[in-house]
Amino acid sequence: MGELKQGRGLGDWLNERVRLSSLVDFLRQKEVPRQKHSFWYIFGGLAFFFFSIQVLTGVLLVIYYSPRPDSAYESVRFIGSQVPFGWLIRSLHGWSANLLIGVVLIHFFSVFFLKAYRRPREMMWFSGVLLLFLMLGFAFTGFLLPWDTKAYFATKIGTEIPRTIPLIGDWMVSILRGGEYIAEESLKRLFALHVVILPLLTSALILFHLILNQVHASSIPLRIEARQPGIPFYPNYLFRDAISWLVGLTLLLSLALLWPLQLGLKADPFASAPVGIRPEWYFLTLFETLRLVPAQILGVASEVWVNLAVMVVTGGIFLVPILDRKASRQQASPIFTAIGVAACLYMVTAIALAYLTT
Amino acid sequence: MTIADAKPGELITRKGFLSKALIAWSGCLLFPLLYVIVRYIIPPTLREKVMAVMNLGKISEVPVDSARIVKFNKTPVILVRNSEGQIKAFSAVCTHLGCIVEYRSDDKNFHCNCHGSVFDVNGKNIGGPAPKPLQPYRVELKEDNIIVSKL
Repeated sequence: MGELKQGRGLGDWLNERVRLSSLVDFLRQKEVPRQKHSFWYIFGGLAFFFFSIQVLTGVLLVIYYSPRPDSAYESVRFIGSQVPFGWLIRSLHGWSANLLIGVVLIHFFSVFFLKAYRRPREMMWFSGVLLLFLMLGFAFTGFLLPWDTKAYFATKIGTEIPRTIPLIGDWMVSILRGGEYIAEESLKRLFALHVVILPLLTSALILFHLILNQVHASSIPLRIEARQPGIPFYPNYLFRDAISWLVGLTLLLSLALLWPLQLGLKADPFASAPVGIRPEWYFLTLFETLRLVPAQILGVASEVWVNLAVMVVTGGIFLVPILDRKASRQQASPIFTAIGVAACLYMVTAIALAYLTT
Repeated sequence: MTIADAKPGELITRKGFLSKALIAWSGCLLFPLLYVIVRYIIPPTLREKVMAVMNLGKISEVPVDSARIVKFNKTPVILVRNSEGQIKAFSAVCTHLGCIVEYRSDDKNFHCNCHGSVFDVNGKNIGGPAPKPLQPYRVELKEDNIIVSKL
């Protein structure tokens, strides 16, 4: 416990009431392992940084946004053209979403390849995978909100995919859309998910994930010795975090200023899907898979197989710490490393193909 | 029966009784509340007026070798007029994942731009991942009107 200083400054006044010195002492004692792969630790904090940007810019956008089909598009256009710096806030929100998912994927793969999920950090992996899916959920639900053509068709396809799941497919589609069609109920439902339900779930999971990080500290890869002493979290590692956040913020601002977000034509449920339509890069793996798979396999529609594959892959990702018996015994597991490399190669190839052929 | 007659484990303390009562009381409130929340999330089935037969426009509004998407109740239907002047109607919803198709007069086929499905002028799926043909509609021509109904 820090000493209670009886000074006169604002810091002392706060410290007497909030005991910040206790937190600072805890952070000084906390150490981050110093080893040759320490660099990868920054991506977790960077993901948290971009998520915070999303919350801040999202709150600002919701001040002007109207979640109804007859006014959603117009409100987004109003933000972009009439609200001071509205175009910048919207661009920051859009680009930060892309960077957030990119950083989360880097964090995910770095944890995977460094086997940081092995005992006793399995719960960190489970909560982290759920957070990854929540981030994709944010991206999907937020995409409809401008109610332009691309948003409409992306949501139409995305909510149609579960229909082929036996027994519950139609019911799931109805729940996602608020009815049979993409309409006002869909917009309201996805808006509620995007600004209330998903943020609450994500905040709780982030807190859980961070608490576990305090309990277990950062993982040291197999066959690597951490050098002593470790990196004091405060102020040394926090300083590194701050640098990575500044780099992230600079990159974000550059992207938002150089390539501000555009708004397509207003959604028309009775117009054809435009030529060259495709989802954002993080959904292109699934998109390209759907395009490449033939119409029927063994007499069954391809979407059924793709749904099955997605469920198996999702379940497999979730259960990695359980399935990787060798890692749980603190041994090298080259098979899982090979699976991870194959997955990365497939993703990159699918994304490249999608960009080149649409 | 007195306390002296009770077998071990038969007696219940006031604390034990209150714990069980609180759990039961919570269950009585929470399970119905859970049902209410789940039922709330499931969208209501709205009764809407559905027309079995609709006048979807004038023949003169669909030039030869072109198509037009119109509303049949809440469903987009594509009216296509082929080179012989015949008018056919199909659901404009691709049978793959629900995108709206377009008619291209250069190859006289319907194309779905989402994942590359192709349907011929009779609605049959001839390319891409679409597993089924476009749903056809019955077309009757009365004077200059295109009367469409479900098959």
